Amino acid sequence: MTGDQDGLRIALVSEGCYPFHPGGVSLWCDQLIRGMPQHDFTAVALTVDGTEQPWWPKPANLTEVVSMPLWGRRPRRARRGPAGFDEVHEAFVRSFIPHADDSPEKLAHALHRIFDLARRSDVGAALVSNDSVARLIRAVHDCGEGPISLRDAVIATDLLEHSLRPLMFPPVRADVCHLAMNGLSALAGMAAKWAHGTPLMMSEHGVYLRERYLGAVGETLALPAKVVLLGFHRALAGAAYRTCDMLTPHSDYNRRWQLHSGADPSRMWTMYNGIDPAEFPVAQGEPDVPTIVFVGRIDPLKDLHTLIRAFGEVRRALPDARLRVFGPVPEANKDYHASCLRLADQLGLTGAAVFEGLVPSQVDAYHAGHVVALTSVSEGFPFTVVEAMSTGRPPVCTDVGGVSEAVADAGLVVPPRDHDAVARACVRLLTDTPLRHRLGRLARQRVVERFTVQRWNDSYRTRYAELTEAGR
Amino acid sequence: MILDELVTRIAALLPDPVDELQVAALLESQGVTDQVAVDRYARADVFALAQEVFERLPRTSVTAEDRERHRTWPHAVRGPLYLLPTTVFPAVAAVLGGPGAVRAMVLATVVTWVWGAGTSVVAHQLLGRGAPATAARSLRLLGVGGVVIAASVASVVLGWASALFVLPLAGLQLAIGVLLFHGREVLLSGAVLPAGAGGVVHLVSGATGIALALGGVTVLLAVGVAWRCGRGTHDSAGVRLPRAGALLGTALPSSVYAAVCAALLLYTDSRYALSALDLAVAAAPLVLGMGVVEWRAHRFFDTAADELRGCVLPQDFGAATWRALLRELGICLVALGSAALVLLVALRWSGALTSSGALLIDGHVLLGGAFFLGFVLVRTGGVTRAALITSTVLAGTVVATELTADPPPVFLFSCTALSVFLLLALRESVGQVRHYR
Repeated sequence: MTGDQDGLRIALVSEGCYPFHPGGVSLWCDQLIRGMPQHDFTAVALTVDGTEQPWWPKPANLTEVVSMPLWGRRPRRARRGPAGFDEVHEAFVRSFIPHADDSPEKLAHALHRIFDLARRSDVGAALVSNDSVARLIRAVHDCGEGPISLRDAVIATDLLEHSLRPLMFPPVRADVCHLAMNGLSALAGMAAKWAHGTPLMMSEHGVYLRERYLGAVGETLALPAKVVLLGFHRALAGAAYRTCDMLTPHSDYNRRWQLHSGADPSRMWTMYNGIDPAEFPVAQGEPDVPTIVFVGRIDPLKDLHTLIRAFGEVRRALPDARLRVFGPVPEANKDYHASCLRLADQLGLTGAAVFEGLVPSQVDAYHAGHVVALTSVSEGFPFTVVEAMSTGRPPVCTDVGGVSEAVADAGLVVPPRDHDAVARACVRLLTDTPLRHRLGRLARQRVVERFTVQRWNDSYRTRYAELTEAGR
Repeated sequence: MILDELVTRIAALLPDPVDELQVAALLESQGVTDQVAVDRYARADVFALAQEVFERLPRTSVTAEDRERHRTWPHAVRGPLYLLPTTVFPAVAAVLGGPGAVRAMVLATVVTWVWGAGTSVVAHQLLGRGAPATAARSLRLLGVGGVVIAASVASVVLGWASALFVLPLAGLQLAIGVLLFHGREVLLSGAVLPAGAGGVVHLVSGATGIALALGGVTVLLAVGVAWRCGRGTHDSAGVRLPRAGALLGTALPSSVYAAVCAALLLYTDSRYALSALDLAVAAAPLVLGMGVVEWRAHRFFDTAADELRGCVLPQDFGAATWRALLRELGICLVALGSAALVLLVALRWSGALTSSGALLIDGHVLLGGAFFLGFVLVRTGGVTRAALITSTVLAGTVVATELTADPPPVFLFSCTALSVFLLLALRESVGQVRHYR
């Protein structure tokens, strides 16, 4: 353990984010590392196969990047078979099948034993053996959710093996292990805690478990297999909340889910995302025609279809209105982008609703509109809302995640998937100039008072110090 | 009443709810906040509301059956497609001279066998990643690379005249691999017809020029069609291609396995290509039946997929797949044995059959069975294990042949041993359900 609080080694753990992918969580990670040059950071990234290339420029104090591929070849520790594995695996599957109030504690205990076994033998092969599949089938049958077909049991067993891979890698060494999210990242943190006594802290942007649940809607997997996999994630989320020494949800909305999953309120601090208001100055003047701006990646979670439909309604009231969409199109979302263009075309909005791609300066994008709209169906505590507010542009947002906590009375918040409500809010702000200016001033004031990066950095620095002090 | 409406709405969106938290997540995504739960539904919060909605929701599994079946029977006709172009070989031998033609054929076959195995793995990897266009492009470019390598090696080792024969032969063999990868058996059968006709012309009239010309037409047709295969396909959106090093890492073991298989076959066969008729044609049943071997290997995995749906426990599956493996092995041996029987009867009838020839023909039947087992082991136990076993048998074959100076019985014994070793390896791996996900 490092004695000096201004020279800590922080392991920052995330899945599918920093430093290999863009997005809000990655931006948060980058901001955190750059904001604390006095600390050295190790980015622990749960990756697909370990061949990913960095997307973010490397800060000077990011001294190491550890990749833990979930889908590459299994990491091997030793050639010996895992003695005692059968009993451990039985406890593992029975800990979350069926879900019970004590599932998180039982799962944490079983995971600890699997971790111990994995340090001296190849647990990966045993996790997908016929015996393991049979144990899972019997557990599902006994809990009354079955029968699960052999095929689904094989799929579920395989996915569980991949999920447990963070336990198979050498545990990271750090003074503080900071999880950027719950879920499989928590396994890397738990391993560090069990191996080295590393204090564990978790920040959640969105709610990992909630997003897992939503992701499973419409998945073509039989119900018993879904019960197994989501039961695992539910118990894992609860186990992680209990294992962490400190939880820093990014909004009170997230906090609700954490408390409901068994988190201890005495170890929780809500920490809102912060930005540098100087980088997002107040806009001077407004565009000539009524303009709505969207800033963010093109993604189904942003529900741009609702925004486009809403804009169609806005155009009925304000025929000169424009919608300017700024943001990158991830490769995986090209089809969604095309569907947005088709919808705009079908509604006769081509030329009025324009997708302008990634812009060099997000500030210019915010300044380009009278109002900034965000119609997401799922959010944590989005940077884009806070940035827009900092520029004095009042936001029109859907009431998801921590959005309403960010906006409060400095903008208009409407129900998700309701394009009429979005349209009414936009028309109201576009036509009522005094209201728009008043909300814009309130928005800027709210950011300066509550959501600055300085305040945010100070809070995390304090939390790190508390964790290391408590660990002595 | 108002809760009933909510239940109906959620049931339409979530026919297979897992638990009350999933319902809570969905409610929130539909705009139901804690405030809405209190104001509209008089419940403490979204979680309390979700608990009640979950208890009222019907639960039905909405699994989608992915029983998409690819046609596997066209594999059965591949044997004649492999064999037909080889009928031009006597015409080539007439030009290059017997030993020179054999050396050129062996070199071209080894290079394209090894190179084609690696190329196929690369293409399948890319296809599995959702990149069919890149897979097709890789096949084309690597195919050209294989031809260049084969011709270059031939020009250095055998001289330019042999290289002129190796160039089209390697091009044809790699083009056949490309066409089969894309499932273009019909186009391929059209392309190889001229070569077959040329072989017959040479056999009947001894006309070398026309036989070689028709063989050339086959090469041009096969290469031309293969070059166009896969055009018009597109990689899936968002596909991330593996690095070249990763592709090489997966392709290399397959190429090594192909190399030892080729060595095992050609170490014995190459010495008889220009010898007595029964020894020279001993490999014909294997070449003819290789399509059947590939077909039954695919059928085995289809059967295993069915067993995965039908069996309740893994041990039932293990027993069922072992039975299926033995059944398919039996079918392969019967098919190859039938072709061998016809050949043996014909040779006996013509007075050309010797005991060595009979042993060599029988050995090729067993080698076909071993190749079937090898296909299955590669997918269930790993290509490295298959390569190690085959390498061991190859080493034993070389040593025993040098000691006894009587290759046919050694070859028969080696192929028997190879089958036994592969079966022993499969006994451990073939019943493990994880290989069939």
